[in-house]
Order: sequence, then C-alpha cells, then structure tokens
Amino acid sequence: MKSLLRAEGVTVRFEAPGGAFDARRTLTALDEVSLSLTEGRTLGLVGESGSGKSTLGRALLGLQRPSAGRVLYRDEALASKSPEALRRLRRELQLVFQDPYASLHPRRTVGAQVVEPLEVHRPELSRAEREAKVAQLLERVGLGPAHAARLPRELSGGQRQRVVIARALIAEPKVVVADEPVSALDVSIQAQLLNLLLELTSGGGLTLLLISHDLKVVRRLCAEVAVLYLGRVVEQAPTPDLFAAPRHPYTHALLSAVPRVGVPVKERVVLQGELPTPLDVPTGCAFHPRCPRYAALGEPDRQRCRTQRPALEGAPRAVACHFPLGE
Amino acid sequence: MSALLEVTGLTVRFGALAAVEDVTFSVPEGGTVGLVGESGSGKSVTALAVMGLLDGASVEGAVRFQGEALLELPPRRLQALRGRSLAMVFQDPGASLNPAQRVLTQLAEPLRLHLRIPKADAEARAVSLLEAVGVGDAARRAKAYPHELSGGLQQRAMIAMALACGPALLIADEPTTALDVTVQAQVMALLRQVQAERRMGLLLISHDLGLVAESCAELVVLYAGQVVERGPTAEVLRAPRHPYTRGLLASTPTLEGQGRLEEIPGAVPELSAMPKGCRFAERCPQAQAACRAAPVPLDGGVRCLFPLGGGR
Ligand SMILES: Nc1ncnc2c1ncn2[C@@H]1O[C@H](COP(=O)(O)OP(=O)(O)OP(=O)(O)O)[C@@H](O)[C@H]1O
Ligand SMILES: Nc1ncnc2c1ncn2[C@@H]1O[C@H](COP(=O)(O)OP(=O)(O)OP(=O)(O)O)[C@@H](O)[C@H]1O
Ligand SMILES: [Mg+2]
Ligand SMILES: [Mg+2]
Repeated sequence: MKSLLRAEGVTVRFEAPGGAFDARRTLTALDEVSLSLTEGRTLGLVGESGSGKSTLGRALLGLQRPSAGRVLYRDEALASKSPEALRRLRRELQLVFQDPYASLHPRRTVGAQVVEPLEVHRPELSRAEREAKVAQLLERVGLGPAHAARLPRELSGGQRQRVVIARALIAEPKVVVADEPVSALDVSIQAQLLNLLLELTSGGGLTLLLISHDLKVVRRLCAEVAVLYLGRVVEQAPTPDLFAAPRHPYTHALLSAVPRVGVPVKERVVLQGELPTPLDVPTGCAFHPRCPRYAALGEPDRQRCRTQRPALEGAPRAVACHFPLGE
Repeated sequence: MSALLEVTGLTVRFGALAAVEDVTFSVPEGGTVGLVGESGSGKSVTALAVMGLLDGASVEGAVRFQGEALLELPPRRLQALRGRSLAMVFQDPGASLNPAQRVLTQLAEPLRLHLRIPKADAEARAVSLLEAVGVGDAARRAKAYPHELSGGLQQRAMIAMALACGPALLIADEPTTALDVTVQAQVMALLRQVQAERRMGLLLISHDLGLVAESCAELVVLYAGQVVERGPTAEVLRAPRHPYTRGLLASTPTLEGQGRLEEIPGAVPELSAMPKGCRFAERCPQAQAACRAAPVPLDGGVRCLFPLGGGR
C-alpha cells in the first residue's frame, strides 16, 4: 500500500497568551505525530476538542508550518517546495474548513465561489463547461440552481456547509482533508454527502482524511481510525477492530459516550478529573489523570503511567498505553 | 407548567418566499423542547425570528415571552431583553465571536453592561463560566483571541457567553456540533443543571436525534418550513407518525453498520417551488393523489393524511 501524504514526527507549537502574572507560554498542539494517508483510502481522525485535529489537518496540507518534523506528499517534503510548486499543489490538496461561515466570502454569490477553483486550476475549460460542472456538483450535494445565485448569509447553515464541500471537490483533488464536514448537517443530508464521499473514495481516486468527533460517521466511512489525545496519537487501528475492542482507555470512554436513541444516559462511562489543556500536558501518559484504568492500578504500575510516556506500538493495531485493554 | 415562550402562527418571508409558515409551539419554564428537521427546513430562521434578529424579512404571527409580545416591542426594549433574559447560541461560531476581541472581554462586557458588575468581578465570573463549560486552564485561555481557539473551544465560549447573564430562555442552535461526545455530555449536563436551578427554558435545535432523545421532553419536527409532527419526544421517536420523521430516524447512523447510509431520496423543495399540497409528497413512499391536491393541516400532532399507525 502506497503512502500518498504523511506526517513524520510533526510537532506544532503556538505561543499562548500569558496569565495575570506570567509571560506568554508555549502551547504544544501536536507532539511528534506520525500519520500516513494511503492512496485511495479514508482515514478517520477523532479525539477530544482541542486535541490538535484541525492543526494536524492543516499541517498535512502545508497550511501550518511544523515547529519540528516534516510532511511528505508523494515522498517529497512540502517544506522543500517553491511557492509556485505549492500553489500548483493546492488543486491536488484540498481542505474543507470546520467553520463554513469563516471560509466563504460574505459578498460573493456561492456559484461564483464554487467555480473559482476551476478558473484558477482549469483555465482550459470553457465558461459553459465550468458552469455545467458547477451545476452538476451542486446538485450532487443537494443544492439547486437557485442556491447558486444567493449570498452565503441567505443560506441555512447546512446549505453553506455543502457549498464549502462542493468548492473543495470541484477541481477533482487527490487528497481532501475534511474537517468536521457534516457536523452541521442533519442526518439525511449527512447520509447523502457521506455516500458521495464514499463513492469518490471507493473509486480509488480520492484519498480522504476525515476529521470528526462523530464516531458514527467515522465508523461508516473510514477503513482506519487514528485517535488523538492532547496532541498525540494514542491509538490507531482498522475501524472494525477499534470499534469492536478499543485498546486505549480513552478510546473506550469515547465510544461509550456516544448518545444513542434508546440508550439511557446512565449506562455510560463518564470521564472524571480536570479537563486537560495542551498548556499543561500531564507527565508520563497524558491521559493518566482521567484514566479509569490508572485509577484501578496499584502503586508501582501507576508510577509508570505518571512518569513514562508510552510509545505508539503495534501494527496494524497500534496503541500508546502501558496497560492496554484486552491484555 | 406555565409557558415561558409561546410562538403562534409564525410566518417568515424573504421577499415573496416563505421560509417558515404558520409555526406554533411553546417552551415551558424549566422545560426543554427540541426542534429538528432537515437542513433548510427553517429551524434557524424560526429561532432568529423569535430573537428579533432577522433583518430584511417580514415576520408575522405572535411571539409571547414572559407575557410580552416580542414582535411588537420597540427595538431598544428587545435589545435589553436579548442581553439578559433571552439568549441564543448561534449555529456559526465565526459569525458571533468578534475576531478582534479577546474572549474574556467578549464574555465580561455583557455582564458589565446588563448587570452593572464591576470589571474585575465580571472577568472573574466570565472565567468561572468557561470552567463550567469544560474549558481547562480557563483564566489563561480566556485571554486568547477566537482564532487561537479550536472549533470546540469557540463553541464553548459562545455557550458561556449565552449563559452569562442568567437567561430565562436559551435558544441553542446546534450548540454541540463542534464538540466531541465527552465534552458534549458535560455541556448538556451543565445546561440541565442550570435549568433545574433557575428554571431556564431551553429550545434545542439539533439534527442529532440521539442528543434530542436524551435532552428534550417535547419534540417539534419541521419540514420545508412547516411543523409536520410534534409530541412527547419518546413517543415520536418510538413510533413516528409522519413518514418524514420515520425517514429521519432511518437515516440516523448507528455505531454498528458500515457503508452506505439509507437516504431519504430527493431533496427539500426550493422555497420558490413549494408544492400546493403536502410538501413531502414528492419524496414520500406512500403519497397518493389526495396528498398533492390541497394543503394538509396539522391535525392531532401530525401533518399527514395517511399517518403511520393509522388513526386520522
Ligand atoms: N436571508 C435569507 N434570504 C433568503 N433566504 C434565506 C435567508 N436565510 C435563510 N433563507 C432560506 O430559508 C430556508 C430556511 O433556512 P434556515 O437557516 O432556517 O434552515 P435550518 O433549518 O436552520 O437549516 P440547517 O440545518 O442547514 O441550519 C433555507 O431554504 C434558506 O436558504
Ligand atoms: N493560531 C493559534 N494560536 C494559538 N493556539 C492555537 C492556534 N490554533 C490552535 N491553537 C490551539 O491548539 C490546540 C489544538 O487546536 P485544534 O484546533 O487543532 O484542535 P481540534 O482537535 O481541531 O479541536 P476541535 O475539535 O475543538 O476543533 C488548541 O488548544 C487550540 O486552542
Ligand atoms: Mg478543529
Ligand atoms: Mg440552521
């Protein structure tokens, strides 16, 4: 299996605002993350809010410079490319933004915004050809010609989200990083768009990184899933395995917290403890202060969790935990 | 329970096109009502009309909130209400956070303005609100600008902002879409707690039927701008009577299967091409000629001539 796009030991740090009495501090959004997208396959990226999913997506597309490590597309480092080469790559590497409102121009019609990538990257097409492509794609994402003439604010939230997806797909990219592409959508439109993405990926022509906190969606669409916790990959596995028997206690908690029709709230694992921040990553295993498994361990074992950072080990099922579940 | 918010016959038009038509529902004090429906069905427009935040639209009908007729209020009075007793979490974080202002300032400002709390106290309160919605190291994070926060942190900042002045009614438009499930559970627990303590009413707009099922006593299902079904959530979800509600349930992904999801075939009709009869008929597996002939009234909680389970 061929790796199309991959991160090697990518670290991203930001300067965070200082507190009342101290100076600005460094926030580590990603900590030596390695992740590989296989050509024609869909990888799901899940994890708690603030765990670094969007940052990783942006780093993979060259939109966020790593503080350390590197990103390779077709085995070539993005950092070594000229601005001109990067611009040409834009067509092949597309991002669907998490916030559709922020990524659309407020005063241009949505039709004009969807056609734009074609104007830039496919100048050989005639105007009529471009318009036909736009109309066809809009229809596939469930929008009609009347929507094309509107401004973003004249559309509903879900309609705007579909415009953003259409714009990312119009120039037939090779890789799409879709950051929460369907979270603003109701289930029937979700189904329609996810089926569209499934069709595009199952033909093998599209490689997709699907960032989502919706495990049900990830389960449907992805061959493989990586779980991020405080800027580190804590588990990576083929989807059916991960869902059937999660090995990292965090993955386990994540799976059991999904609200479902007909399952009472009480039957869930609710994590205890302070919510973590990447400003103050716990020592050892970053999850230990909230880990139900840690709580059940004896002292010598606990000490290991507190002091030694577990490495991500194993293939095809990898887990970063000293005491993984099912052992 | 007395009604905190009563919406009667609400109709919203953009030019000649009605995005919301004759919508009626109420939210009791301390209660939670869920508003669900396909994308473009009019959920946000309904919410914005209640808040008096739709410009360029014509709004008809009646909205009573704590005994006041909102649609008739002078703009200044409405604005005062909006800051204090009537709050909303908007669907787009990007549209409601000011990119040029620190989150702390944005949170503390309304407290100073509406509750006349001194700056230092307002800021302390803002920080504790952020903690309550699950923002770790809140004192420091509060100093960030919105773009320095992840999507989920932005969304929680908006929820904190909406709760800041202790509203009597919170309208939350897809408030947890950017949150992972563990944080979502925490935020929903906070909302439940606020509701229990202060009898706050909650209108929860969501496409997540799982979330609605566990949070809302009552459910209102919108389709193409009309209420097509409403009733106690448990009942509606256990035995939906409108074919659209059933389709919505069937296309809900579960944690089990893989591959294609069931879709409701077709799309919502465009505003400019609303059929005269039942608006769902085009996509309905059991539509008959009578469905297309004339508008279908909402009757016994369902807008369907041939509801599932019979009885009409
Ligand atoms: N300012 C506007 N001008 C014209 N049409 C509008 C305007 N705002 C909304 N609409 C239309 O009104 C309809 C209802 O929109 P609304 O935003 O209420 O949908 P929604 O139910 O909230 O959908 P979503 O789940 O996608 O957020 C849509 O067809 C939308 O395109
Ligand atoms: N430009 C920035 N400046 C400072 N901090 C940032 C910046 N961008 C992101 N961060 C911080 O980096 C961390 C990771 O953010 P990221 O947006 O990648 O999270 P995420 O996993 O996508 O979360 P969510 O699910 O909430 O969208 C967060 O703590 C965030 O506040
Ligand atoms: Mg994000
Ligand atoms: Mg909406």
